[in-house]
Amino acid sequence: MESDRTFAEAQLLSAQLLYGRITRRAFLRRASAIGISASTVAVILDACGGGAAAPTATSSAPQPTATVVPTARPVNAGQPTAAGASSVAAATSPGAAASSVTGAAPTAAASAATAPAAGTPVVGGKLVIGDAAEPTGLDPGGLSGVDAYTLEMHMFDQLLAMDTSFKIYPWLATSWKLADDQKSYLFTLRKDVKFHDGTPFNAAAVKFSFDRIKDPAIKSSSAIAILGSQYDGTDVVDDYTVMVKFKQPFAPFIGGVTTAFMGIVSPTAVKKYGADFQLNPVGTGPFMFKEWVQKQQCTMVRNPDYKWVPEIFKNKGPAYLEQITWRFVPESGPRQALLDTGEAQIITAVPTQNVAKVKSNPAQQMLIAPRTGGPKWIDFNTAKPPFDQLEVRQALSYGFNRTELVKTLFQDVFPPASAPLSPPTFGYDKTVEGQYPYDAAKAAQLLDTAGWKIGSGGVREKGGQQFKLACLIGTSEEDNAIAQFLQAQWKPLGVVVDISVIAGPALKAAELQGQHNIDFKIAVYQDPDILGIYLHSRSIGGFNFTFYKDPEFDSLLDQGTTTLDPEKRKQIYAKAQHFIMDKALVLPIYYLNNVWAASAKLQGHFSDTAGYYWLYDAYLKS
Amino acid sequence: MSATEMPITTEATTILTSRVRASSLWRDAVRRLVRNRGALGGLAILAILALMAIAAPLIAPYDPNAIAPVSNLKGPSAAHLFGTDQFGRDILSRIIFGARLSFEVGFIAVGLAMVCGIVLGLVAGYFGHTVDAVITIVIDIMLAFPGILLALAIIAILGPSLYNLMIAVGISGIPAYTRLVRGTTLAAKQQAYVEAARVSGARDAAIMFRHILPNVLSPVIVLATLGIGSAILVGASLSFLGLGAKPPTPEWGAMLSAGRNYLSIAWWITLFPGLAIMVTVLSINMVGDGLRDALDPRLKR
Amino acid sequence: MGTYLRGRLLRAIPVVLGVSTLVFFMIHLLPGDPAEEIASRSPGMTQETVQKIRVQLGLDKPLSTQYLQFLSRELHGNLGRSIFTNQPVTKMIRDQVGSTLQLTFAGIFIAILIGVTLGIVAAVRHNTWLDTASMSVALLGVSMPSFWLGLLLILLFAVKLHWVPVIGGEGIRGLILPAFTLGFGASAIIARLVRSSMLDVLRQEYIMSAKAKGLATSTVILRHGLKNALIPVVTIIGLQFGTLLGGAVVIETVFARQGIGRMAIDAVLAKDFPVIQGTVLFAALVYVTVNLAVDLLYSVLDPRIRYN
Repeated sequence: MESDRTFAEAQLLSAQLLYGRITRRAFLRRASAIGISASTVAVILDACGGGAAAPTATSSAPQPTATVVPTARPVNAGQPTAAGASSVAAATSPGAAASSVTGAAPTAAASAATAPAAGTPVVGGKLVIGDAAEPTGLDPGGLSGVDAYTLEMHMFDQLLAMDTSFKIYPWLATSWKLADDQKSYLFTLRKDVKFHDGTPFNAAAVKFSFDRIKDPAIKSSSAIAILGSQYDGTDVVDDYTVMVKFKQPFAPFIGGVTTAFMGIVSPTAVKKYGADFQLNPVGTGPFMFKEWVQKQQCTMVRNPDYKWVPEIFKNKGPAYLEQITWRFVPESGPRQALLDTGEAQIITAVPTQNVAKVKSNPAQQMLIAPRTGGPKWIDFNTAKPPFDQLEVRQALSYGFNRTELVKTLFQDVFPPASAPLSPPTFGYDKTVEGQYPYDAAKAAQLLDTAGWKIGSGGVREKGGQQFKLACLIGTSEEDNAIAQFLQAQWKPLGVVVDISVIAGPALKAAELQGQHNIDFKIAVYQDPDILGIYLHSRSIGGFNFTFYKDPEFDSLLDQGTTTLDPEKRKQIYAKAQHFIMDKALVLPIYYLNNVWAASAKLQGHFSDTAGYYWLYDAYLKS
Repeated sequence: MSATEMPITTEATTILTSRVRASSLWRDAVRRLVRNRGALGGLAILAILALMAIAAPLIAPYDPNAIAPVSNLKGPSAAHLFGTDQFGRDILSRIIFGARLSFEVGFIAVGLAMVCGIVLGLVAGYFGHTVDAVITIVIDIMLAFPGILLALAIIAILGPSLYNLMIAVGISGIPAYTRLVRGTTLAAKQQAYVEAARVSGARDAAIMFRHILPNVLSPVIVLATLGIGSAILVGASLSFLGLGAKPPTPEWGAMLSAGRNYLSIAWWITLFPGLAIMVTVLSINMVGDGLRDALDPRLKR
Repeated sequence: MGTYLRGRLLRAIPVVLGVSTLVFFMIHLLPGDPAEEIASRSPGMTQETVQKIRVQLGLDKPLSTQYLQFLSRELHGNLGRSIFTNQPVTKMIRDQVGSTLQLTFAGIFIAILIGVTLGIVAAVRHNTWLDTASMSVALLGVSMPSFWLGLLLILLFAVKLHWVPVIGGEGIRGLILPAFTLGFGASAIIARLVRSSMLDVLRQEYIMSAKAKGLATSTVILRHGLKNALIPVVTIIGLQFGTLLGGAVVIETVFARQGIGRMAIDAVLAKDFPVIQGTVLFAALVYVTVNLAVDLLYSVLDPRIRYN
């Protein structure tokens, strides 16, 4: 068995080969130089032949509604391998070696991510962001979703980092490997990291951060889904080494651990603030929390001690920007005005009807980043009529013209979607698209067959019940528009859509009770496990608002996470996607783009695979 | 029936007297009203609006809820006199149908407030003492809620919908009528005909409703007329805040709320519904002012 | 004066009590079991959560105990906690109220400024075009929805002319449009009232006699007419404070301003009852206080009014 050091180098080499950073010839040269056996080399070469890292799904939280979704990063690409290189060669089959190497990287997302602009960064400057949605709390492991992600990603660091092509890099962890049993990951940590409150970052902090996610008291919404149900605790091996354990092999983990929801929190601060930690976040990130005036703004300032920078960034020290202020402006009109008057340099959630105007303004730029994960979709509540019937769900799927919706309401800024995963996501299966082309006649026919006949007032009836759908939405303008569109589109079919606007967490509460027939969801995650997070029956009471229960489907989704071989995973998820669309569990609408606008002075920003913009490398041109 | 066959009771006399008194008042009022040009103008506009509301399905050029994605966000044109909204719906048609809703809100809310207010005011003014004190305190409590906060609280309990909005606005209007009727009842109580009726053994309820009420009615009518305008404004405000009509209802306030997001791109979505509200309330106010001047010339300037 | 004050205070106390009672009963007016209703608004409802909320809100105790607890907490300034953010309602109000009060007072200031000026002008130039014009503007003012006016002003001054920032804006610049929008309706009412009461006063004999004595018209107006004419206006301002406070709710939404109005609306849509209760209670208390102050001012201005 080769020594640990050799082993680590072998890992590094494999990774470099995997991500195409060295040629095969270079790999061979160096591998033999360190003394890796030929058979090992052969296996590795074989496994790495396919190419880049597997993209991982990032969970997304539905936007304005409070449902949070974990955001995961791409699954590890070849970093952790079984202990002992020879056992890599011997014991591990191509499948296992491949477990360290996950499938092909989608390059679409990579190209979509805007590269940092050229030019010398200007140090200093205070950035103001007009943010559409104020988070409920800033505890990454707690009640956090999409709204909180953009803030948390700048105040908390993770063990690993992922770049725009799904490659994994060390960050707070210098290296990691998958244990023999395929169920645990060993991380070696950096020794020079400090939290914003001065306390040192160490293995105990990692254990604390991960273990607390399972504690019901902190009400974790996203992190808990990233960790998954098989998380079995984290062990402190020594001050700077941890072992993260799972009861079953868990493929999404390495990608998941790069999401901001898995950010490392300061145990001292958590103990100090208790339940109020979400209002006083303390991490190790390039920006430190300064203050949060509820419903007004949240400010974070540059961390002067920051130097543990992962390779994905150009900057290697403290951030360029002196401070970032997030001003919470839920209405789009005033938010746009902030940008127009220069009071803010970035605004989020730009309504699509303003995009043309921003593009034609030389002082402004659009920031549009595609998101991995699921499309924006409509949940069908299968637990009660009328959507307990497959024909009805299929009928309304046929009766939905998404192309028209996207054109009318969103000026084609979002691509229409008819699959449950978005194209950049790992495991996306193209053949799923187009299963229910728009056909109003067919929709009507299916409804008739299902027993829903046109009754009085043009509304369909069955057994004395009218075809009336309860559509629950939040206060988002987009959801309101989509709901009204559905109303008008399905009215000729004899379907009545009744819209109820519920603000805040009350919406999720109502959905959890199944008060809706339809509601809207978004999911941002790089790993196809997002399908499991949203549609597994164990997620009923969590993220599953279709209330669909099928043990076979469940076990299919479970296989997707316990299978480490990327190719096999792809096949499993292809099956899952077809199943979802065959059973019309959800109705996809459009693929998500994160639509921001900024002053033309903003430089150095770029988006991650989930469409969130990094501002650590950003600066304001003078 | 000859006078000799039917015994003329004192009660009948008093009723006749009070009725005659009332009817002559009305005749004078109408005469004065007709001479008020502002009021006539307002009445004319209201008549047109009412006609519009009633005949909505016949005169609206389009289905108010029909989405026409191709022609969305188009400005005023020959095809769409008031332009289209973000869904391509014709704004003129929506305004025409919205008139129905506005009048509904106005009449139901005011009706509710008026009926409850009259009853409470009569009872408080007539019986006095404890009953009066209790009712007055309750009214004071209701009046302690500033502006639309009482209506807001009621909607919080009942849930947002157009009908709950009518109830909420109605309930918030009760104190005004109660106070008015109570005040005039207190004054009317001293009058001779009331004393006479009581002496002749008439029941309290009869006295209140048949004698006193007709005489306190005129200021109530003025208040009610102006109140309809006020109810329409409050209703529109609550709908604007999202606490009233649900989409796609073409309620004027709700239309303004949607227009907010398209302010710089499509000003017509904001201009026309607001104009409709203003014209409606304006004409109601002109009629109401005219009525007030007509019914109580002492107040006239 | 002392008797009057005492009398008014005495009358205010049962009103405050009544308001508190009404607000207290709000959650009990909900259809169904209040604890379940409220628990159902927060995620992860189980029977445990329902029970926890029941205990937390004291709903397991008899109604009378609950009521007394509610009152005693209220006296100590404890208005409960938001169901969702778990923040104390008092703190939430404290954070937001400054902005609302700023807006309300600015609105009143503008209402008085415009209303009194318009009213005086109309009265003094009675039956001229100025009179008709002023009164027409006033009529428009009471007929116009405030939020529409606000939107049109934003369209004109912020979007097209860029004279003021749409939101934010320190001090005057950020306050002027919302304050004007808020105050305009009230100014119309004040204008009409000032005009009519001034006309009343101007007609009275003692004014005529002062004029006969040869005093300049302007002195006559200012010294004698105005003071008496303004007395009913003072009461109206007190009442308008309530309307303006309520109107601030709408204006805050239009101009995306912070304030307890926005807070209340969000709470209604989210069915966050402690926040709704707390806000409504607070607003009512402020209103009662203001009216008390106005009554006091009224009695100072008009010695004829005394509580007997």
